[in-house]
Amino acid sequence: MSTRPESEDIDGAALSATDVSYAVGMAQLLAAVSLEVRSGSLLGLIGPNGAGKSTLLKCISQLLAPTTGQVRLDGEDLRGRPPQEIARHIALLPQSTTLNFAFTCLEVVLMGRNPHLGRFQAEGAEDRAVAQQSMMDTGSAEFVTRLITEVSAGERQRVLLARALTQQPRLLLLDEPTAGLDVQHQLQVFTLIRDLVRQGLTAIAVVHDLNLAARFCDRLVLLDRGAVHARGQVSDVLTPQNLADVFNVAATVDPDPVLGVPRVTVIKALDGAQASTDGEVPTAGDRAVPSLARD
Amino acid sequence: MQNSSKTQTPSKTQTSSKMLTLSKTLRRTLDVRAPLALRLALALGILALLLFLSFVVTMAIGAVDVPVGVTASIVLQQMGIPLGATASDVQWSIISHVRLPRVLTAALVGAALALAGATMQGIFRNPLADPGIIGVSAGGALGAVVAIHFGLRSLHYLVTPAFAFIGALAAVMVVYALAATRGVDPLTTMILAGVAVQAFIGSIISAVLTLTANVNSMREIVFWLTGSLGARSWTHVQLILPFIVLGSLLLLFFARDLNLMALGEDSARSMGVNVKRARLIMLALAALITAVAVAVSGVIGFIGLVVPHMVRLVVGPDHRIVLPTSLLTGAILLTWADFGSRLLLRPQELRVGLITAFFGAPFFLYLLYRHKRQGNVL
Repeated sequence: MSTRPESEDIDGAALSATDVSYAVGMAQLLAAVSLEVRSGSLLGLIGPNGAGKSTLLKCISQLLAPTTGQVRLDGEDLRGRPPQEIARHIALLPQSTTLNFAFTCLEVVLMGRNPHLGRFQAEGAEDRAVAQQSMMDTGSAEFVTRLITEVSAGERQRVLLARALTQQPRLLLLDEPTAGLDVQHQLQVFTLIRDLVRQGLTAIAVVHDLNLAARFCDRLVLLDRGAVHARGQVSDVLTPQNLADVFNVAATVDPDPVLGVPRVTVIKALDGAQASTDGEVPTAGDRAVPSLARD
Repeated sequence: MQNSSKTQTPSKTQTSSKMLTLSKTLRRTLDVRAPLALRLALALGILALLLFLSFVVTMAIGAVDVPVGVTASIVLQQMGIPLGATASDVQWSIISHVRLPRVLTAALVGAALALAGATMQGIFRNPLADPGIIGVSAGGALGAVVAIHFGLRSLHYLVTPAFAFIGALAAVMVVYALAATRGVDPLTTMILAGVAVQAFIGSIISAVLTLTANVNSMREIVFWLTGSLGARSWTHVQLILPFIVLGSLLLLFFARDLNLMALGEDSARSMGVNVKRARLIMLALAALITAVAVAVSGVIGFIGLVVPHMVRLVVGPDHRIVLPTSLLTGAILLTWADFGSRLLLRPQELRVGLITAFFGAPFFLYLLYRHKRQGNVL
């Protein structure tokens, strides 16, 4: 879909961020980060706490204006666009959503129509149809009249995902969409995201669980202290060396015997982290993994 | 009522089936899946009717009772609808020169306080927020106290309101400036700054009270701090009407933004809301209508806190319905509170702020208890 001749995107890149930096005062939270996402694919953002993953998502969605650098969606620069226009193309599911008011799930999902409505315009039949479709797509159609404050965490996440889809975005940004969910719901949510991507949605997800990232993402970007440490195919990014460099852990990566995707097994935290002196770390790890990170 | 026993059975089933249809229609109208305009029209229609009835009934009863029908016809004629019974000159004069302006002032003040309260609770996502949370009421009180203490009110009867208005807006600006300069989380900072400013102003008021030698001034100050709607004239109505009508209408522009902001700032912004701008405009408008209300009525508590909670119990949390229904409910409630203040200890008049606190506080506790059982905050 790239229309600009000068764009140096990879073929079919729906979104490209070029040298995006973001600083608050003296703190450089992002330093010249570049990434591309192919249309109809899921990019996983991984990295330790404080690596700048959420900041990068906010820069892409223009919630934060990058200090320098460019973000292009289908070749168009997003800088300075009105928020309502951006919201018609990019939806964000933030890490946490406050829910102080007892809205029904349908009311929450319909809020996703805001970027498509005039100030005094109420949602019409078409908006309701879109909302209903996204609730069906996310398996939350049965919650229509239930209160968002009363559904379970897994159900709530599906409703909030439906809310984001109701924006009918070209690009979906997910900040730890499975944080706080049990394994069943983690799997459910990622299977759902995968299905949506198969149907043509482009998505970037911040993922903490490396095995979920390996299983569900098409490509990965590994961030470390505000800069890209590695990028590319899952198997190229998830290497023991990278994990040692960035997460400061000793880990093995082997093909999962059941799923066939790379499987990460973290053995122990390495020097520099306080946890390395923790007596509970199995000594077996020392045998399994030679001191990788000390090179 | 029935003409014969034969027709009774069919007419009864007819009535009950009609009732069933009506209740079905009502339920369907109140369901979230029903179009917003329908729900809004129903809620506002009922409340507008109740407001009119409240006007008529509370105005009919007083030191001189005027028949309800006569009162209604006078109100209708004032609205330009020539209908109903003819009134005597005395009745006309009592209703249209004394009670109508007072009731209108009560309704406008109640509407402003309730709407501002609903807005503040939405902005701060805090069920305890009320119009005074950012120091408006305290500032207004200080302005009025200064005017009374220095005897300025004897210059003109509108000097106290003017001082109250200026004090209210000045206090808000101080709170806002404090929060805006060092705000990591501007909302929390603003609440804390509001608390500090209120406490500071409270101490000044106490000091002024101690220094006030004149007993009349002292009584006046204490009265002002508990709010009153006595002896309000058409001038008062004309003064506050444009501010409150305009401010309220503008606030309604932002109802959907408030809904989205309930999901948090990031979510709202990702859905296209300019959160900072919307918040600033709403704060300014809510402060303005509160300042205007405080200027003519003194400090009246609990309307702004309780009314939005009552309203949400019935219509749900959608601010597009909550804001206009809070406005009308606030108008109705303060009309009755003022009625109570005139009547309860007749011929003495209670302070209306006493009435709202006396009934508002227990009711608020009841809501709190109810919500605790249901497990929601709002």
